[in-house]
Order: sequence, then structure tokens, then C-alpha cells
Amino acid sequence: MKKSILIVDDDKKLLASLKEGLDGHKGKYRVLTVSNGRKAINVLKTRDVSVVVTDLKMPEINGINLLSYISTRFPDIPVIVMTAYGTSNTEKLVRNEGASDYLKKPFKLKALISSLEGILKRQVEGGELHNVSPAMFLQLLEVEQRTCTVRVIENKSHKEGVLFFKEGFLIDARLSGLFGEKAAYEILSWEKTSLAIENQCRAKKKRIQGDLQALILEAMRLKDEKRSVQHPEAPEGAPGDGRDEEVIVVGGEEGQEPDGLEVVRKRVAPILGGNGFVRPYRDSSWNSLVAQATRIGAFFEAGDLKAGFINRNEQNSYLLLPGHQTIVVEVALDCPRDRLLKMLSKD
Amino acid sequence: MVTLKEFFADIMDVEGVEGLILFSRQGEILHKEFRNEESFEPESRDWWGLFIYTLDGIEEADFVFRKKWLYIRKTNNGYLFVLAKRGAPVAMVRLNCDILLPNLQDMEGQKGWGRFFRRNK
Repeated sequence: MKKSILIVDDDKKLLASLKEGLDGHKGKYRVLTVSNGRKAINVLKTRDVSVVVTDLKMPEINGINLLSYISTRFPDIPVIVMTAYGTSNTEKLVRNEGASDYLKKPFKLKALISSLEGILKRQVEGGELHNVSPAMFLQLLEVEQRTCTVRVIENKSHKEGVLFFKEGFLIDARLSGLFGEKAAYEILSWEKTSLAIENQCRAKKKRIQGDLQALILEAMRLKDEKRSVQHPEAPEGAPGDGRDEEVIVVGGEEGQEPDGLEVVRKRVAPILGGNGFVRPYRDSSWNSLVAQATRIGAFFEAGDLKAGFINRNEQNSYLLLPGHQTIVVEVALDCPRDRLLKMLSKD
Repeated sequence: MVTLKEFFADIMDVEGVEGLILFSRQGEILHKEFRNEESFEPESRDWWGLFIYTLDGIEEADFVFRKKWLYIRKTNNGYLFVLAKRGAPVAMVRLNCDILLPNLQDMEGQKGWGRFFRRNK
């Protein structure tokens, strides 16, 4: 896929010449050009840009300010600074501000290409993966406590997002002009992506507080919510259309069973007696497991999920009934599990 | 050396069992077997690992659906999923897991363990 290079310079002739040179270079680059820092910021907020090449001396927002802005807001986007007026102090200053490279004008196109190639190579030094689900892979990064920047491209739409990891913790995310958790939810909901890993974390701020697992679950929930609005649940007896398994509707809406807990209690009590169980209660912390089990059931063309039994090797086990909030009945481990499941899964 | 297909034959032989999948802790499919080989392609889905992660060390689980029953049992190295029709003798499946799975664990650490997970066509 072509990399987008944004060139910022008030010298229109130079812009045209660089654009022509890079556009023609092995079809690797897509070149965008703007004449000042303000326009560059607008582009960064709305388009996916891989590298910025900027002049220093420009009207309105100058190159140093643009560099500072990018280093703070878009830390994953490398910046090459070019200038005709620089000194060794200038080079030191811009590198301290976060510039990835510094070119003294006039320079040959070859020098810019070499700089771009070095920068883009570093972005994949940690490896590249194709056709993977980011949620799955990122859990490995968490387990391995990696510090890295992961660039993610969604295979269908070619949208590009970035995730920042520090010692296994996801600390920030960016997707065009979205940042933090909002960007993370979108990226984590993508199914087939290509990933490129850079072995350093470019984020400077920790904008994400939650842990990765919670973010992934929330991303799934938001995605399923969006889907269930776009694709109502397929009718039963319509297997094989492939959509059933994508719609995770966990039971009915709250309020459809005026007293679902009481119904459950009445079914369970005759089997266990009055004291053989903890009174049913609702607990949404089970919703994610139930939702995923529902999806697996759809994959296996098994029909609606009716009930579940969970043994955690604790004193009590858990009977689960899907609902807006999962209904839970705590029972002894040696309870007549199959009778209970049969009773609870009756229509 | 016995193959996984042979190893799980007693579970597959239980009436009503439609198939089974053995997963690693990371959600990688180590072995799958279905009575009708063309039934399902779990490799086509990439969310198994997330489900395994959500199980979070659960020892075993039963999920009863309108038409089928899914039994999940933790192994030393991951999870075994057994899919069966509703009404299958589930207690037999659990009993077979009780008998067989410790042998699966005992084989870990033995030389050639990796060969044991040779994928069976």
C-alpha cells in the first residue's frame, strides 16, 4: 500500500518538484502538498499521513510550531525538517523537538528518499503481520509487556490507526482526529487488519486508563450494538446465511420479563429445595461471556443460548441465564446440574 | 504414538456428540474433529482466542442452546470444546473427559510432545 507523504512549504516550485519526484518513485508514495502549517494541521486531522516533510520558515504557523504540534498530537507521525537557513544549533533544536531527520536545502531528491525509506523501515522493525484481528494480537503484546507503536490498517476500508504500548499497557490510540479510548474502540473492533510494529512507544501522554481486556470487550459491545441496529436478528430456521453469528443479542430487553428473577427462582427451588441455592440476581459482569457464548452458538447453528453452567473450582458454581443483565443463580458444585439446565432451558 | 483422533475416539463415540475442538491457551486450534467433516470451519473465525481469554481459567462450562449443547473443559494446556445434540448423554462426555484428560496432561513435557499435536487430517 502507498504511503502518504505530506510536504509543507511556502515555496510552490519546490513543492511541485518534490511531488513530481516522489510520485514517480516506484509508485511507493502518495504525495500531498500544502503551503503552510495551518493547512498541514487540517490535513493531519482528516487524512491518514505516514510522514510529514516540513520547511522551517513559513508564514502563519512556522515549521518549529508545526513540529511541536505533531510531536504532541500525532507522535506516531515522523517529521523530516528541511531548511535553507539552518545551523548546527537549528538541527539540535529540531531533533530535540522530535524531528526524525533534518535536511539542509538545497538537497538532492535521493537524500529525501533515503530519509523516508529509513523512517518507514523503522516503523516495521518489530515485524509486520497481515490478516489478523488486532484484539487477538494485542493481548499477546500485553502478556509480553512490550513497549512499541503498532500501526494498524483495516483491510477493507484501508483506514489507518495507531496504538501505543508501554510495557504491555495500551496507553494511547489515534485514528485520524480521534484519540484515546474512542480511537481504541474503533481500531479494536476491526476484524482483518495488517499490523506494523515499531519498537518504541511514541506516545507522550497516557490517555487511556482502562485495561486492554476491558477495552476489547467494550469495543465488541459497541460494534455489536451498531450491527444490531443495521442488521436485525435473522429469523430462526435460516441457518447458513452467516449473519446469525455476527448479531449478538443477549436475551431480551429488561422489562420484557417483569420478574424474571422470580420465574427462575420458582423453577430452581423444586429441584434444590429452599436452601440449596443463593437467590437469583442480575449481574452484568457475566454479559461478555454470555455474549461470546451466544456468538459461538450461532457459529455452530445451535440456536438461542438458553442457559449456562460455570464451574470455577470455587465453593459455588453459577447457573447463567442470558438477559439484558445476565441472571445468575449460585449453586453448590454437586448440584443436579443437568436437571437444572434442562429445567432452565425449557421454553 | 497415538494420534489425537485416536485419543479422543471415546468422546466422539458418545451418542449425540457432533464434534470437538482442542484449543491452546492462546486460542490456537490444536485439533478438531467433526462427525460430518464439512460441518464447520473454526479456522475461519478469529475470535476463539478472545473467548478463551474471557473464560479466565474456568474449570468447566456447559452452554445449553435450543438445538445443541456445548461442553467446555479446561486442560493443562488450553481448553477442550465438545459439541453435542440436545439430549446427548452429557454425563458420559464428562466422564470420558475425567478419564482421558489427565492422560493428555501426563503427556506434556514428554519428549515429542510437539509431535503429538501433529494436525490430523
